[in-house]
Amino acid sequence: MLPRASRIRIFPYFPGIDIAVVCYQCERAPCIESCPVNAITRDEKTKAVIIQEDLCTGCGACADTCPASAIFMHPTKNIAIKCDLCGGDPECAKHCPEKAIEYKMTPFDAGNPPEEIAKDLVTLLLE
Amino acid sequence: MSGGFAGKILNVDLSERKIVKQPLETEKIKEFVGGKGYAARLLWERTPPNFDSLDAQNIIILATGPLTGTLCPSTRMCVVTKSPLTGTFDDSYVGGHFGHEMKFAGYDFLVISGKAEQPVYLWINDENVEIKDARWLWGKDTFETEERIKGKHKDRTIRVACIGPAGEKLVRYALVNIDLYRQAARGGIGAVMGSKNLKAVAVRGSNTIELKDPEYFEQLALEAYEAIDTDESLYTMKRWGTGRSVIFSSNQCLYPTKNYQEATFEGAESLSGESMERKIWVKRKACFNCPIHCGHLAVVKTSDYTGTIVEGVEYETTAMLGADCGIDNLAAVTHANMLCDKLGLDTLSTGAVVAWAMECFERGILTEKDTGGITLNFGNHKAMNKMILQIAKREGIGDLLAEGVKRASQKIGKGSDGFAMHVKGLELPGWAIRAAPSMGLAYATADRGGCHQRAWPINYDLGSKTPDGKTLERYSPQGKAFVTKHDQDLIAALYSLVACDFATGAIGTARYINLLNAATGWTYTKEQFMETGERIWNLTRAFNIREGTRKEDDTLPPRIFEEPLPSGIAKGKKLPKEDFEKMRREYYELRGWNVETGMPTCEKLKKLGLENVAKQLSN
Repeated sequence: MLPRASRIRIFPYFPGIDIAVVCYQCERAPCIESCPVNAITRDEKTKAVIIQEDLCTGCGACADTCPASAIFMHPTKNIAIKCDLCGGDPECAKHCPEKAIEYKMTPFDAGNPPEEIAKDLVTLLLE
Repeated sequence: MSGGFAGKILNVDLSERKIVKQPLETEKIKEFVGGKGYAARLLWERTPPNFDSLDAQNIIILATGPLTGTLCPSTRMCVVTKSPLTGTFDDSYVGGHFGHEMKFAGYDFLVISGKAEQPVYLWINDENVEIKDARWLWGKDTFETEERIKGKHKDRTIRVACIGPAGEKLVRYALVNIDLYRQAARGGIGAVMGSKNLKAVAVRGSNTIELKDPEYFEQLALEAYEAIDTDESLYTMKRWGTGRSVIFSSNQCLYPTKNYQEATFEGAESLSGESMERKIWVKRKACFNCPIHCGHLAVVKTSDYTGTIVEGVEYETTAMLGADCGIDNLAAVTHANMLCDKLGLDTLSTGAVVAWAMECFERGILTEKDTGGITLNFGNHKAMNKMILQIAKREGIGDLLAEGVKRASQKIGKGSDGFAMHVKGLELPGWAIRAAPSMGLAYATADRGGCHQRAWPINYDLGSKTPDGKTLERYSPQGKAFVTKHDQDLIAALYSLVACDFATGAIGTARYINLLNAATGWTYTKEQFMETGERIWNLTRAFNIREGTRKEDDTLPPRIFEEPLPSGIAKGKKLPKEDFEKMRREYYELRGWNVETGMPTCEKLKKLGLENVAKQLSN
């Protein structure tokens, strides 16, 4: 197991409030535009935004531009990694024991960044 | 090297500011598995006989096991040291994510020795390990310390283990706070950190753990998930956490009330998981890779204690800060829980100490002159919360109470040691004894003093079948020694993996052994696994004997022997001393120890492969 190579991460964005961070597969994806070597493309079938590992130079421009902070640097390989929807059958949705992850094809632009989601949750839960 | 391990011991000498990474010799650790077992070995080898727990000679071991940080669900870590409360071996277990992260950074064990000249914290970023200045953190509470360290390193994903003001002030039951709301709390490890001027350890890890047979291991791990998912006894644990036991415990006369004077509490309902679900819980919380998620984030939104946010309240805390202090105000208990976590105090010992002080006050042994004008009666939740602040800062009477009930009662005398509820100095936790005699034996013989986690034979008292297929009579001493020894050995082995108490029933010992073998390539059998548990138990016993523990210390507070329970289904019951001594004698016999002295015999130690320990002990 290599958690820091995971494409979905759980971060405590606020003390006590853990947020699942994963790619929104934005319709207008800033990461695609940011890549200097055109290594990021959209999968025709799943509509997932995919990083071509053989082309990626590990510069990190996509990670910096991602509005959801959902692109990570691989801990041992010099590449960026992100959710690729597991080819259309996401493992995380199958595995979640709480059934908190649902896979649906409903394209939408980036939702709130995790900091904002955390703020909303803090208001909802803690206040 | 065997699979399942990160492969290194990280040795940090704070006096010399020396950091040494040492390869882990997995063949050498095999007979102790990891976790508790190997940490006990390290403590034995690396400390001289008869040292003071708060001296620089003491060491702190942060230990993981071969299953920590793997796909196996519900694993933990442990922290081992010599306790400043009991002077014995002390191992405290904690979930969260810290142990897993430490292993991903490449270290199975972190051994901290010596004493820093001024406050420091340890920053472990994979290969890079630094001892850093912590003067800017000294005096800060645990929640703020964690946030500040994350802020300084501009990384929300690092994991922090730290002490609060109570640890700095050497309160003898100060804790180590881990991942904000998880604690290695019992026995005063926080005070040992404080004595070393070590404020925190922060870790970030990005490596992987290699396994010997990854495919088979994954299959077993998924089976373990399935077992947890379908285990009916865990349904209530998933919903109410440990709070599920409050009402059951009170009904069965197992819920310590008013400093163990009673064992059934009128206000139990308001402290139950069901009540917390209605009133304070906003979210479920899980440790690393754990589908049980017994934790709950609690927020108090009404009452004088509005603004209280903490994970809890765990069963033990409801018992000790609640019932044992005669308090049924859930918001007040939740607030006290938060104060303890923030300031770095064990909620169990803190509750027990305040309960003891309350009884002293009601008997006139302590007066308002001693308490600084505070009316310290049972049920006074405001007084309890004030006491917690004073203990953490060692202010006023807090300085006396910070020593724990054993030392405090010896100091003020007047018969107060007769109701100082501890074993070997560790305050008794939230399972009363007179309605479950086997728990008395378990407390009296637990390696770290009055602890419910080294064996919890109450289930046999209440009718569960014993490991050899028998049913025991609840109030009889018959057969209680066997189940206590059996569970102590089994749990010592499981704590070397490091397994969590709440998963062991569903996953089962056989599956754990398969997981261990698939991870490491070893060929452990059930018999060998149990024998390893026994080996570990004898090693911790040998350590305690070396440090001065004697048969006379394997006993219970006089209240348990002398005062019948005043109410509830076990009304009139006490644990007759002759029954207790019968159980203890039988226990020593089963252990192969000298029944007159309670010491492990040379033959026994040799049979378990502890020749060197036997040799050193006889010198």
